[in-house]
Amino acid sequence: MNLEIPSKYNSTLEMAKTVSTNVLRPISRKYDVGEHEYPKELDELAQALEMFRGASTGKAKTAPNPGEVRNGSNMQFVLFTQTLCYGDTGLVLTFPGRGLGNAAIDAVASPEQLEKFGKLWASMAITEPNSGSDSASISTTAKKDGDDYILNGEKIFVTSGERCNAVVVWATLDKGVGRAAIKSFVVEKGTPGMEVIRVEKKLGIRASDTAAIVFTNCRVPAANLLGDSEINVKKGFGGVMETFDNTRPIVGAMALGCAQAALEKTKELLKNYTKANDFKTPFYNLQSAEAEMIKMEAEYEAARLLVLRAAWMADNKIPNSMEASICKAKAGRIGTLITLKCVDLCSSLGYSYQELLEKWSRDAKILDIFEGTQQIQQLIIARRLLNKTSQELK
Amino acid sequence: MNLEVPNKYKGLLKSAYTASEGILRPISRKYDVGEHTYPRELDLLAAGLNGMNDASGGAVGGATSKKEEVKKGEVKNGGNMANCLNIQAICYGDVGLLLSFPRQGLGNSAIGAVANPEQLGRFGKLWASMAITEPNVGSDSAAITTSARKDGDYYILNGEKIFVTAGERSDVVVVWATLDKGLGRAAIKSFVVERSNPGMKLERVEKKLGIRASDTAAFVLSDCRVHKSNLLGNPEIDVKKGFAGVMETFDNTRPFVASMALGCTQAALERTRELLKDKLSLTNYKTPINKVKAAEAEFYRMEAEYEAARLLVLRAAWLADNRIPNSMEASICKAKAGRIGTAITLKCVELCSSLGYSYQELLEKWGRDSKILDIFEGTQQIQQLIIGRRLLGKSSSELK
Repeated sequence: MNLEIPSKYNSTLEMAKTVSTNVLRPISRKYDVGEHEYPKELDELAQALEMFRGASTGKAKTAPNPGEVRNGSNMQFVLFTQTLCYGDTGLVLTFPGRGLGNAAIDAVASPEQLEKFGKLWASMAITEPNSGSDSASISTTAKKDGDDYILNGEKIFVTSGERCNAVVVWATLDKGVGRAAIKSFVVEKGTPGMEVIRVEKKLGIRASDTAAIVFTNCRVPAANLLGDSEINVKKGFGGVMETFDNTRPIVGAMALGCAQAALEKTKELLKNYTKANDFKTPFYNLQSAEAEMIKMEAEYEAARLLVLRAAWMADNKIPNSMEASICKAKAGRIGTLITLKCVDLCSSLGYSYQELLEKWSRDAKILDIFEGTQQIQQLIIARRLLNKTSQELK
Repeated sequence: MNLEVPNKYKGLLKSAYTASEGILRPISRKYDVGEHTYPRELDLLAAGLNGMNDASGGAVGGATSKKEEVKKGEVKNGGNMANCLNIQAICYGDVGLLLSFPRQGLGNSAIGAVANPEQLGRFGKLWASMAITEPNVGSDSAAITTSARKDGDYYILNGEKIFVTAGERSDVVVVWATLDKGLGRAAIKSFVVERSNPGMKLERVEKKLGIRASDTAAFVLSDCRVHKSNLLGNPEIDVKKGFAGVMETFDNTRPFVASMALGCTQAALERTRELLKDKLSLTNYKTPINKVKAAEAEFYRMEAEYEAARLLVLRAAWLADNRIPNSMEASICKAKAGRIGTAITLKCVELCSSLGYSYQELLEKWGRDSKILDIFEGTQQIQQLIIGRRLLGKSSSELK
């Protein structure tokens, strides 16, 4: 395993850092306070966005030669994501042109579909009012009608659901058949029967819009179904869930970016109050605030290495489902802990709107929830460790 | 709720702490190193203890106090609270030795809870241990496989029991066995088996991480004949009533085990404070926590955890004294005290560095002794399961 960051990424990461510091940070509070306002500054970020697009789609399609070690696009993409989220997680989530739906399209679309939908900004609609982590239990239906499917149901927590051009909707062809009957459909904005009924007011990531969408006899061409249209009970859910193996390290990287921002700011704010740590004084003789900082740094480093490992495995075509969950669980957890502890350490500056520390602590929470909660990650890890199926261990 | 420690207990507690410091501490290391040696010093203490039990209306080891009615509007601080405080005081001296106090076994609790007057007459003064766990059955005690077959006026017991605390030293063992494995929980009965019974053979005593002063035995029962008058409680298989009766014993004993953890923790905290008194100021409650030394901050956090656990234990005991169902609160206090007991005693080892880690002090011993308190009488996980069930209003078959 080689977790060294290749020097070829330096320029990309430097650019991302510049964007973070000069473009995202200055508008961070503006779109936190002005929730639901479209951050038009992002439209000007064409170059960075191209990078964003390129990095996520340029996945290694071939296995490395024996003995070859590769640091490829997965590693680059997690580093890139971390650097941008160091700027602002909410804004990264609302970068035009790149939604979670795009990841799904890239993963399973046919060449024609890629041609048709590849350039759209696609969000992803899975969660329903009565179906959260257990996404196999969704009740939005898709009924075949000639060359179309007719969708009915309600979807919530659709990130970028209002601003996107298309929504990838999960629906079941036959609720009785279970996971295998769940298919995803690309529904373009403006399709009759699809209505955004509200955008949520939220704890954090307020720059990103989170929509609730209702489908009422929404007619979608059969050609918009992603993947295999047959109900293949044998194959089941695996294919759908693979998308998440790829995206969990990315969410882990978001949490790293947010935690890194809080740690650096805290160090800066406290530099006159705490001794510059020399890493020589025995831990227990340090001032307690310094000891907290060092513990947090250690946690951050541990999470960072776990994220890099998961990405490295993906780049080298080694199955990484467990490692992806481990890094997401760790990074999500320490992201919330670290950002909140930084609020605490910086006292009035940490708690007030003067600094962004309180905002980062709010932003961090969702990263321990979406793309699989802490509990779901632990469940996945346990299944892999114990070699149990989802039926055997729920 | 009134968690004030009543004045009437103060004298008793004072003598308990005196016994702890004067008698238990001095022999603590001796019986830690000399595992399996009988701590004969305890025989002297036992007499004194019995006096204390009478006065507090309960027993230190948990032979349950008489059920007294609580008048409406009255608030009582009774035998359960006294027991908890006493146990903590003794375990402040040595947990292993407390577990080895003659005639204070867990079996005595079971006998106290369900024996009829005739049985109480025969067994009440004996030292009774409790045999539940089997090589393949731990926390899920409803799954035991030791069988009891009726044969005339006798039951014939077959099976293997492990982790029997005080099993070697006790006079009788309360053995859990099933009358019919197919009928589940309701068929599980407990039998008082004399140690002299030829059908029950002591296989071995375990060598252990901690509580080495206490013996932990394994028994094999082969066609062990036990008279039917030794069956505790109802001999019929009442599927409706099921397991609840058996498990009630544990509602009573969980706060006692939590108190053991408190005693062990208190010992470690006080010793740490003393050892570090020249290096740290551990009474500085004015400086903001982030400005004190890291070691001081750790200490304050541990004190807060200890206080929280202590109040949870007192609450569970208070509820029991006032006849308010406390199954959930008993589990909460056991879970918290067991968890912080291990965390705090180990952190004290770390804070006191070479003194903490070596045999010079008892800190490393307390670090070992505390672990079992987070395991026996229901592991951390089992306590959380019970709490989950009570909070969600689910039965044990709905939430496993």
